[in-house]
Amino acid sequence: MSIRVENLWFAYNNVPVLRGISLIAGAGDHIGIVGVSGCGKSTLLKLLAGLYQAQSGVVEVHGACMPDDIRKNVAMVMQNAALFPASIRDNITCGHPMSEESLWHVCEAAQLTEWITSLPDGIDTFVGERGGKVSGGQAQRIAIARAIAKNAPVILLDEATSALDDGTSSAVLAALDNLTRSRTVVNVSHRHETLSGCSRIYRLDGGRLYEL
Amino acid sequence: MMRGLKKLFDITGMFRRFVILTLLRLPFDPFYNIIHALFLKHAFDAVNDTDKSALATACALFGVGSILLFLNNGTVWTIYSAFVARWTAALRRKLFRHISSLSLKQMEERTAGEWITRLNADLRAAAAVLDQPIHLPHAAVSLANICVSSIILASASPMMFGLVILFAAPHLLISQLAVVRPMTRLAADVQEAMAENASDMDTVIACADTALVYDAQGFLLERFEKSSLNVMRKSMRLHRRRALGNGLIPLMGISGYLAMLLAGGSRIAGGAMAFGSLIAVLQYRVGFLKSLNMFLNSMTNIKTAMAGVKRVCETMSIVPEE
Ligand SMILES: Nc1ncnc2c1ncn2[C@@H]1O[C@H](COP(=O)(O)OP(=O)(O)O)[C@@H](O)[C@H]1O
Ligand SMILES: [Mg+2]
Repeated sequence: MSIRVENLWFAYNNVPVLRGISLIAGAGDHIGIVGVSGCGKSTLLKLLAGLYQAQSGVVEVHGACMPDDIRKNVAMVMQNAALFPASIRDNITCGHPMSEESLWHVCEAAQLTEWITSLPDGIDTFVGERGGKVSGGQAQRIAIARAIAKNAPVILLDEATSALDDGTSSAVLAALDNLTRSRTVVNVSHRHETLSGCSRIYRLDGGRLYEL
Repeated sequence: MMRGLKKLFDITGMFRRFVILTLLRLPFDPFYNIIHALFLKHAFDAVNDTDKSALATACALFGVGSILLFLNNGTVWTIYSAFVARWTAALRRKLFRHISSLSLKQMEERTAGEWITRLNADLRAAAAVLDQPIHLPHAAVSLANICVSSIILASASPMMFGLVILFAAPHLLISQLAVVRPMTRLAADVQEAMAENASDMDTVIACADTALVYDAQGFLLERFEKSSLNVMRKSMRLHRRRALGNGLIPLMGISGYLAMLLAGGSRIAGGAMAFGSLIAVLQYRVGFLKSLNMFLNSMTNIKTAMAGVKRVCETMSIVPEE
């Protein structure tokens, strides 16, 4: 079992957002969750990522139950890819040691190689925090490269494809494909059509999950 | 420097009011210096002649003159403080309006930390032109006093004036070259380092979730510490320069004083000068040097503030798109 959520409750300041969520995902499953904006999708993902502690119920990810341990098992690509104001290299490695060879391997998988080699400073080019110096699609692919580099068994995607325009989406989709292949994935979106590759889709509504 | 100040007042307006307040403040130092010297001269002459009533008159006139001067000075400074508060608020408002009128694309070209620094630290640094303890009006006031003291000294005793200049000139030269001139550059380095540091601090907070998932907090904190250290190093360079300027004062001051005492003493012994006149000349010298130091300090401070002024003007000169 890759992900096990049982009767999970979560509230912000006593306002419940998730009311008794249960979810099971086996290794390699691709789960989609759809729901209107504000229904609690990002909150659920943060719990699955070990960023929040469940207030009641169980969250188990790849055998880990404590948030600190859960975080080791997941990689996450967020809605508006937040980059560090640092080099592309540092954004991908997050300061962890990594061989030049695997770094380029990661860039290749994230569809970044062509763009990076066209830059005067290459992989050491400085990027702004909100991707100030890069396009949305490039920032997204750097965030995906970061996730690929972590090589975690569970991948969490928060609206990873919702904000893409047609021109850049194919490269991002190819990058996402490389990231998610043969891993357990929870993909969250407010648009049903972006979840077409998922094996199972749920709707989050009123703090509960309904299988579609 | 003048161009930067003009630009700053173009942004804020209120230049006329500033000039009027400075002009009102201008006579204080020369008048005080003259009153002080005249008092010393007449008091010592009276003591010399054992004329009690002349001494009493000198004391009374000095007392009344000082009270009137300080009254004028206090009133002007009070109005000035209120003016500076309004002026700084106007500058902040203009700066904020301008930054918020920029397009998203222009906003995104710089980090949040950079913008926060432009709104806060840069503004504070620029406002220092008018609101730190020694600032632009002080430069004007001390310059006025330097001129008045020089004229009086030169006509009272050209030889003594020559001595004052002889000992003040090296101080002026060294301060100008080693302290005043590099200040803007050193301060600009500090502002830049602060912007980078603010951006690193902002990242630790804004990217907290990403940092947690990717175990990058250590990496981000290390960056923050590095840029904090850089701010400290850059600030230390600036403060060491300022300290150098202050260290020069006693050295030049005491040797000049001794030279004048020796020259004056021999003239008094030769009957060419009254004791009261020597005391008065020494007082004009004190006024001259005090103003020279104040002038150098104001120039150091203004030059430091110019780094902020430049950055504020640069921010204001970004042309909003669309
Ligand atoms: N940090 C927070 N503090 C308080 N309320 C929050 C916080 N984050 C989200 N919420 C609220 O929780 C609800 C779910 O938010 P979120 O999980 O971000 O929804 P979604 O990702 O589905 O759009 C919303 O009503 C939102 O206002
Ligand atoms: Mg969300």
